Amino acid sequence: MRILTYVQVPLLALFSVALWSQEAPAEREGGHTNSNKFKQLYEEFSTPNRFRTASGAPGVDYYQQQVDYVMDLELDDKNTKLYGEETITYTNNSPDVLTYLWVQLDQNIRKKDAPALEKNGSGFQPLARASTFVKNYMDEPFDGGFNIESVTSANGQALPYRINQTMMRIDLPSPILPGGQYHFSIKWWYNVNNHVTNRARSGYEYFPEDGNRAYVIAQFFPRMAVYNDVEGWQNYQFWGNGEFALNFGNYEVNLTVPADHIVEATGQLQNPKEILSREEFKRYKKAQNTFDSPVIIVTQDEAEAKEAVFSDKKKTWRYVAKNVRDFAFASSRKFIWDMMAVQVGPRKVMAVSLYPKEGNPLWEEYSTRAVAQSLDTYSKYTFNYPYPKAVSVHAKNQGMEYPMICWNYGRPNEDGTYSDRTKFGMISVIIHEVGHNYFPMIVNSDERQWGWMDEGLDTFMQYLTEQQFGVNYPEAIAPLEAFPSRRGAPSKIVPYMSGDQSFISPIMSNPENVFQLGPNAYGKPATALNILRETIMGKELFDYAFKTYAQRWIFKHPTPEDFFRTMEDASAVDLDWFWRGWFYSTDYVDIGVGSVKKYYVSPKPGKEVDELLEQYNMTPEDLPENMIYMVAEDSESFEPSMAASSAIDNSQSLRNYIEENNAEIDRTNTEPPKYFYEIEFEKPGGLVMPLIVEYSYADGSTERVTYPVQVWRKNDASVRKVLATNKELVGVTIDPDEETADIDTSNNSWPKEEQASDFDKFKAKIKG
Amino acid sequence: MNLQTMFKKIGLLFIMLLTMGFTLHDVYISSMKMELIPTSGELQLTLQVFTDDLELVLQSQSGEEIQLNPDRQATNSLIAAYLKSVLKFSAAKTPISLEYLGKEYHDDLTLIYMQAKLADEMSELELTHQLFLSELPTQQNLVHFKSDSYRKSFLFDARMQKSPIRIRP
Repeated sequence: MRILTYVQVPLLALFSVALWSQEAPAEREGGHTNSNKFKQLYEEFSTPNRFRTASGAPGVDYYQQQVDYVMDLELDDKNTKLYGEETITYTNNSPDVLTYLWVQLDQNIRKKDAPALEKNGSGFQPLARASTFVKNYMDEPFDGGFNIESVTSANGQALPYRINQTMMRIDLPSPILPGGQYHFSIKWWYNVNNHVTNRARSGYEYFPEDGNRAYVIAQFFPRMAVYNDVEGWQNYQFWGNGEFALNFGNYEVNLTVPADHIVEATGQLQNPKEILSREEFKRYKKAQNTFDSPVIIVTQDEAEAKEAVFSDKKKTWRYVAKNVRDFAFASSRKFIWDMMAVQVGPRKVMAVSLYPKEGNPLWEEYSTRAVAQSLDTYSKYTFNYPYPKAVSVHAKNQGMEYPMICWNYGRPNEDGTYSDRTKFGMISVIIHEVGHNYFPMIVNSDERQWGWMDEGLDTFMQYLTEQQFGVNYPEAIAPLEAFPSRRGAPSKIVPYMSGDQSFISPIMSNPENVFQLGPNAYGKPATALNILRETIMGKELFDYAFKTYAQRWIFKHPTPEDFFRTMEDASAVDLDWFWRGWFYSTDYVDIGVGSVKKYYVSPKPGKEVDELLEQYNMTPEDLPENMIYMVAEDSESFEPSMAASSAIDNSQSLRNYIEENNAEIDRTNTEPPKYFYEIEFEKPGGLVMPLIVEYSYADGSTERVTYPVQVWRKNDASVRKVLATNKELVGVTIDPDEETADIDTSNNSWPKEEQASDFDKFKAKIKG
Repeated sequence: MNLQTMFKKIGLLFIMLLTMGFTLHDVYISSMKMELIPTSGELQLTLQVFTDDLELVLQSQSGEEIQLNPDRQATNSLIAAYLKSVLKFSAAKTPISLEYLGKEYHDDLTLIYMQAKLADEMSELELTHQLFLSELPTQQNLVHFKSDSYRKSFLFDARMQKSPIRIRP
C-alpha cells in the first residue's frame, strides 16, 4: 500500500482526496493551450533586441532622431491669425537611409473638410434646440488648418511634398544617410480658433466685456514626426484623442506679438531687459531669488489698465529651449504674471503663473504654489526637474500640457467667490499638467499610440502629489483631513471596472478606440500602479523600480514593454500576471468567502474517512498506526465531546506520537491547536490578486494574513486554506481596507453581513 | 437677456465639438443604477452625473446662475422638474410617475435618488432617457438594471433615446 505513505498528515480527509481521485474520466477531453492567468507575457511582448533590452533599458544600439527648430512667429491679434517661418535641422541618428520625411500638421484637424469631423457616428434627433439645429445644418464650419506657403531646401529650392490629412511627406532630393543631417524650411499661417467654443487644446478665449483675447497656442507649427525602431515613421493620423509623438531637439524662437501683451513660452526668455518695463524687470530679477512666496511681475491693476488700450506696436520675445520635444506659448494683454524660485535638488527652478483677472483671487493664491509642489514631489519619485521653469497658464475650461508650460482651468464666480470644487479642481489640474513635464515631456512615450503611458503614470504621481499638498497646506484643504483626490484610491475605479463590458476596453488600447478615455487611460492605470505600490510590491520595491524606469528613459522614447520589464527587472517581483490582467484585459477583482468549515480531532475515523476507505476497498484496520482523524462539525460523526476536550485528549495516536518523539519535535506551542477551520475563498472575478484576509476571534482579537497571489495558480475559481488556532473564529473579512478595487464586497465577509444598500441608506437618512 | 448671458448660453450650446486634452472630466457620461425590489415592487433609481455637467444644464435650462456643491440656492425642485422632462418611464403606454427623493455630492459627482412603484404584473418598461442631450450632444447615459440576480445594461445617447427594459426575466 504505497499510497498510504502519503497520508501521514493529520488532515487526512482534506489533503488526500486529490491524490486518490485520479481516475480516468469516462470521455477523453481535448487538449488546450495555456490560458493560465500566470502565463508569461512572451506572446504579447516583442522580442528584446539591441535597441531595447529584456531588462527594459535602452540597448547598446538605441537611437533617437534629433530635430532642431529656428522659428520666427507673429501673432496677429486683430485678425486672429498666426504666421510662422521655421527652419528645421533634422539629424538622422538611425542606422537607416531615409528617402522622405514626414511632418505633422496637427492644425489640419480644423480644416473644413477634415475627416476627423466625421469620425463619430451621428443619429438624427427628432427634437433639437434651434441653436443646435443651426449649428448642425446651417453653420459654416470653422476655416482652420494650415496654409502651407512654401517648403524649401537650405538653398531655397522648392521641395516636393504631399499632404495626407494631418501628415505631410517631404520627398528628399537625395536620401539622408545614417548620421546625416538635413536643413529645410516651411512657411505657413492659419486662422486661430476659439478654443472655448470649439473645446480645443489650442486657440484663444474671447472676453466680450473688454474685447480682449487670451491666447494659449500649441501644436501650432509643422512638427517632425518620430522615426524609431518600433514604428518606423510614426505617422498615425491625428484624430483628436491620441495626443502626440515628438522628437527631442533645441529651439530658438522669436515671437512677435502686440507690444502690450505679456507672454510665456517653452524655454528661457533671452531678452527680458529689452522687453519688460523697468519696474517689471526689477520684479522679474527679484523673483529669481525669492523662495518663500510668489513675486508679482505684472499686477492685476496694471493688467486691467491695459485692457482698454489696444497697442498697434509690436514686440519680439526671444526664447531658447534646450532638449525639449515641443514648443507652446500664451499671450494676452490681460495677463497677470507671478513667479517664485523653487529649489529642486541642486537646481533653482522658477514656478510661474499667468492669468487674467478672471482667475483671481484663486490663482494668485494657489497656482504658483501648486506648481512648486508638483516640482518637489515628482522630482522625489523620478529625477530632478531638468528645465529652468514650469509655467501654469489660466485657460477657461481645459487642461493641457507642453514642455515647461501648461494650460489649466479653475475660474471663480464673477464676484470672486469660488466653491471648494473649483479650488480643488484647479489645484488638481495644475499638479497634473505640470506633472506631465515628467511624463511624457521628458520620459517621452508615444501618446498617439498609448495614452496611458503618460496619463496613467502622471495621474498616479498626481495622487501622491495632491496628498502631499494637503499635508503641506492644511489650511487649503480644511476642514478635510486629506486632499480629495478624484482618482487613485482603489474604490474610485470600481464603478468603471464593474460596468458593462461592451463599453470597456483594456488599457492596452489606442486612445482613439476606447469608449471611456478618462477611466481607461487615466483612472485605471493610475489605480493599478497605486495598488501595485501599496498592496502588491510595497513602497520600497515599487519606488525603486519606478525611479529606475524614469531615470533609464529620461530624454528617451520608452514603449509599454520597457515600463513593464523595468518594473520587474528592478524589483524581482514577477508581475506578468498583473500586466496581463490589469493592462491587457478588462477583467475585474471580485473575491469572496465561500464557506467556513470547522473540524475537530476525533478518537475514531468519521464517516468521511469510512467512505473514502470504502472506495478503495479498505477498512480502518488497513491504515497504519498513529493516524489522526478529523471530523467536521457539521458531519454526522461529530460528537459534542470532541469540542469539549483537547486534540491530545481526543487522539491517542497524537498523544503517543508526541510522547515518543518529544525530543525531536520543536514545539513552540505546548498544546496543539484546538480549532481547525477550512475556509474556502471564491473568485468570481477574472483578476487574480493577493488574498488579504482578516480573521476575527471570539476573544475580540484580529489577525491579518496575506496569502500570495500565487494561491490562484492552479485553480482560478476557488482556493481553500486551513487555519489551526487556539482561538475560536467568529469572522472572516476579505480586503478589509478596500485596497484591491473589489467590485462586489457583498461576498467579502463571513458570516454574511446583510448590508443595507446605498439607496436604502439614503432613504433612511432623509427620513431621519 | 444681456449680452453676457447670451454669450454664456451660446457657449453652452456650442460646447464639445471634439473631446480633446484633459478637460474638466474626460468624457460626458452618466450612469443610473436601477434596481427592482421584487418583494415590494419598488423601483430604486440612483443617477450619477458629473456635478459640473448638471450645473451647466440647470443654468442653460433656467437662464440663471446656478451653483451646486455647495448650493447657492434651493435646487431640488429645479432638478426634479428637469429630470421629469428628460427621464420618462412608461408601461403599456401609461406613464409611471417618478418620486424624486434627493441628492448627495461625492467629490465631483452628484448622486440623485428617485423611486417608483411598479405593479406586480408588469414585465416590461419603456424608458426615454434624454439626460443632458440638448446641451451636450455627445452625452452617453448608461443604465444598469438589476433585479435579484438578473442584470442588464443599456446605453442611451442622441441616437438611442428610448428603449424597452425587461424587468422580470
